[in-house]
Amino acid sequence: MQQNEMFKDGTQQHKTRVLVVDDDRLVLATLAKGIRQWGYEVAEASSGETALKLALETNPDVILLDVNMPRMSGLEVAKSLRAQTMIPFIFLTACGDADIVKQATEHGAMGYLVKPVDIAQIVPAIEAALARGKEFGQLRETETQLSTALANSRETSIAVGILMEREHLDRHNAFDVLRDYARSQRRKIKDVAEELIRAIEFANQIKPVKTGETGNSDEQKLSSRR
Amino acid sequence: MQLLQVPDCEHTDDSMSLRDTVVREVHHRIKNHLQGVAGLLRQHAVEHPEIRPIMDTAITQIKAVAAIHGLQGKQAGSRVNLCDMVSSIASTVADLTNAQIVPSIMADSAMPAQISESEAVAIALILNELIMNAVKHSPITEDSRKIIRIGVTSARKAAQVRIFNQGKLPLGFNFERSQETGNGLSLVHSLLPLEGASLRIMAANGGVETVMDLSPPIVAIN
Repeated sequence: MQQNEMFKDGTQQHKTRVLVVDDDRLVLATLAKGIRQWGYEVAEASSGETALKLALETNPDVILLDVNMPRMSGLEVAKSLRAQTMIPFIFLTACGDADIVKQATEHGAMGYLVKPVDIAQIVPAIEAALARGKEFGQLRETETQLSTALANSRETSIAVGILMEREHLDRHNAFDVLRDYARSQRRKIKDVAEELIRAIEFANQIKPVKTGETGNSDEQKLSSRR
Repeated sequence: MQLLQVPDCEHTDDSMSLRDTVVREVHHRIKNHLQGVAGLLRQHAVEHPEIRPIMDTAITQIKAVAAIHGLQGKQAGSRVNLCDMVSSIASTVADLTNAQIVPSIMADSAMPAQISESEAVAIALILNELIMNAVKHSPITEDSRKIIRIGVTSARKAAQVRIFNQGKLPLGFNFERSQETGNGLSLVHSLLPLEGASLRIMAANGGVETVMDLSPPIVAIN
């Protein structure tokens, strides 16, 4: 019952919210009740459509998702969830054959449980999915930060290269020039670098016009016919 | 509940008849096994009277599911006649609790309401919970028995079940909010279909009346 622990400052810890999805309402009711008894906050959905709606509206911490459901299967729900959210989910399957395991993995499941499931199996699976979901979240965040840093770094490097070429500076001095200018303008180095690159790109587009390309082209066509 | 996938044979009358026979036989066997489990629990309840109320709840739930398989094993197709379902569950609860349960059934004899195969177990368990609840909260009469009245109105496209007991609703009771309070109706809340079923519990005629209305797709039309 660790979910209901009080923090040292006296405030209550946030209960983990679990969305349970199964089209068999008897299975749904017993699973939901069992999970509630372990101190989790549980929402129930008896169809894929309801599950998706509830998941997007309430953003639960973890979802237990039956694979085999009419109309919208658990796999379809998982596909939509992955595209729109980062909620970790566990599949509930009626059989544990290799194909189901493969599909579950491909759809990004944090795990799968083969029915009938005992509540004692579900709780560790929920906790493992939460922990892995958190790790994935942190990894995605790190990836985003690294991509941003990489993009910024690339633009700054290009700008330094331009300054080296134009001002005949070594790379350290070129960077100092860029940084000092950015500081003097109270702007980010990345923004100044981007502006410099765009300006050079624009300048490179302006080329001398060749003789014969000016004038009225229709007139030229007519004169050539004559 | 889908029991098993009987392989599709050639669609001749013989093969369809064989398929129906196999399905009915499976239903029949499941009913027997469930009744066996209920019998084992009954023995425990007799040996340990202190756990009897808990055991009785479990026994009636198992018997409600067994009743569905029993009824599905009797007729071709797996839909269940609502009147038979109510009678069977009421009889089980009456036997176990010694309550006097008086069913009053008004059915369109030509076309009584049939509950769809996929919803029959859920509806049976809901009815079982409601009848057990009525017994639990009913006062004992002069002859030391509890009296529950059940009315069923059944037609092809719609049906209504009314369960009356002489108890009293708790002050400020609201069925919609009763799920949040975590009382014994939580199973009913979870099992109640979103479409084709509605439930009201109210004070009426000096007691408590529970009314369940059923319509398609819970009531099978075709």
